[in-house]
Amino acid sequence: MATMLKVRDLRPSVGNNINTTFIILEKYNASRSDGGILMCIALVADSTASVHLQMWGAECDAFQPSDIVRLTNGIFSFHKANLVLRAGKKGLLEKIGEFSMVFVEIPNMSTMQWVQDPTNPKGWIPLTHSSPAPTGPMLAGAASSNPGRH
Amino acid sequence: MTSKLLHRGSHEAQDELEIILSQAYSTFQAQLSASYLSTVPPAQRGPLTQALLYAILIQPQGGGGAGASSATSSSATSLINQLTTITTDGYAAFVGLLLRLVNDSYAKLLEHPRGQIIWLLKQLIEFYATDVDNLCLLLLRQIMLEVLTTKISWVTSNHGLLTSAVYTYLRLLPDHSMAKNSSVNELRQAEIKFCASMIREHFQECLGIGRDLIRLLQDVSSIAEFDAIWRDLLANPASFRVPSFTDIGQLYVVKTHTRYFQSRLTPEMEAQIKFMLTHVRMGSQRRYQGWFTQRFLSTPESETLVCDLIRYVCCVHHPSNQILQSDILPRWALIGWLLKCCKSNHVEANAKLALLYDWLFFVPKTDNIMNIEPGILVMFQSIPKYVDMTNSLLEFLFLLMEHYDPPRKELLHRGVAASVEILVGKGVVRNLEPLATAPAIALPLREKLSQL
Repeated sequence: MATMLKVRDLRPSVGNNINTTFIILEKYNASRSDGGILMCIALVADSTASVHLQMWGAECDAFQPSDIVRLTNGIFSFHKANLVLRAGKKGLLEKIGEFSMVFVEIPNMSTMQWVQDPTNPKGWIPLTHSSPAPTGPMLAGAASSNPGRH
Repeated sequence: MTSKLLHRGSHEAQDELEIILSQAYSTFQAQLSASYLSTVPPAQRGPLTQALLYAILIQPQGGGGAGASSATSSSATSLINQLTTITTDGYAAFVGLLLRLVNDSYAKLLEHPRGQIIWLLKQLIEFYATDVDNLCLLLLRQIMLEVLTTKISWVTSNHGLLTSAVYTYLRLLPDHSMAKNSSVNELRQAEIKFCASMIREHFQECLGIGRDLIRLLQDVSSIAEFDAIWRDLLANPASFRVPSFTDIGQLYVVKTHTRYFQSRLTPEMEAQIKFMLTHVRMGSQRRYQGWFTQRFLSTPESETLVCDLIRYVCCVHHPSNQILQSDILPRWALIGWLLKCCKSNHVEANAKLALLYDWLFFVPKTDNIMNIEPGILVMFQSIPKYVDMTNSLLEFLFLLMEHYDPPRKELLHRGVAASVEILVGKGVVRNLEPLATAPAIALPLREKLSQL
């Protein structure tokens, strides 16, 4: 049985092994990708944090705010300059309920700053007030309003 | 000619709509049995739609239920497919015909067409057909009324059912009168007749509903049958033939059971309200409120639901001490939001009445402080940021005390005094000082407060 991850524990990675459950808070306007496929971003969250979910094609209309959704074999990585959660080719988004889930909106794992893990070349650490000063390169293109410690 | 849709008495003329439908069917019968329809000129769409409806309703053993897969059952399905190919208006015309048929002639429909209508309803829901929700509601109401009136002796011997039916009809009749669909008139008359006769002939049982019966009867007092009931309640209580009932004031002191308030909420509404008051922290309710509004309060007709919600929150949902002491969304905050959802003055007044109703008749021995706690807290907590709310509620409270039932003013004054006494006595609020001294509250209101 795959372990369920809390949104707070998401870490950028190329692997498609993210299993997590969240509630959809807001959907932003859809747009067409270069290949002409419908794409939209949603703000989603669980009781620990929020994150941006990227939806593709039919997913865009299938899910609405207040839907509780389970993601299986998803990916949390960069799409262009944005760090997003998505199902990817091997993953699956499924609606499992509505409304009755507690959430917090801060921190937002997509908009916070990340630094490379000094002990692991492929790893990233979220930059919060409790983490040490960055010694590795900062994440290029990570959207953040307050660089450095809070 | 024998009717295939409706019961018809020996001297009864054929129903007008049935004539239209069956004639359309005769005209297009040959075309319908073809497996597809060639392009239909616009002028023919109307009659062809009528023909299709008639054909589906009389189709033998056609699509009668899940799993029907014989050649005949596919005929009803193929007829529906033909309907789809010629439809350009979201099935509006088709549903319109059905609405008229169900509204005018439901009681006379033969067994088989009735079954076909249910099957049709399910198909139309799949198609997201225009007005299908109205059709569904109309069918529900017709079926409910028919069951109740044809099994009337069983209903009257089942007191719980009887009182629930009366409560439900009284609650829904004002909503139905606001509905723009005036063709609902006949059904409404039948519902009024049923309800009024239940009250008159089974008054003893209806007394068990308690004080909210009065509140509901007020909202239908403009309807002739209920106006007559009001006159008798006030001036001629003996006409109800219950010896122990001599004055309407006796009804005020009977608390309405929580099951009535619960019956007005769907399970989903209840689940969402409960979730908000049990798991959502104060300050985090904005999104949940938005979702709830969008789901349940987004149409003008749904506004009256606010009153049912307020009664539910005050009288049915009593948080535990643990929740009360936590930072979970308190009931007064939810009610403040609900009051703000009211757009029309009429609904707003009813909502305030729903909040303060138990204040007016509070009897310490039988009433529950938890029913009146949200009221005082909305008033207190709205100072100073939302002090208009406090002013509005206080003003309304004093208005009620003087004018809700002038001959029985004393009773209402005692009720409010008892409410204040227990709220202060049990420490829900320390005293009325914050209300009596806040400069933002109108002076006349503060003066009246000091007299409480």
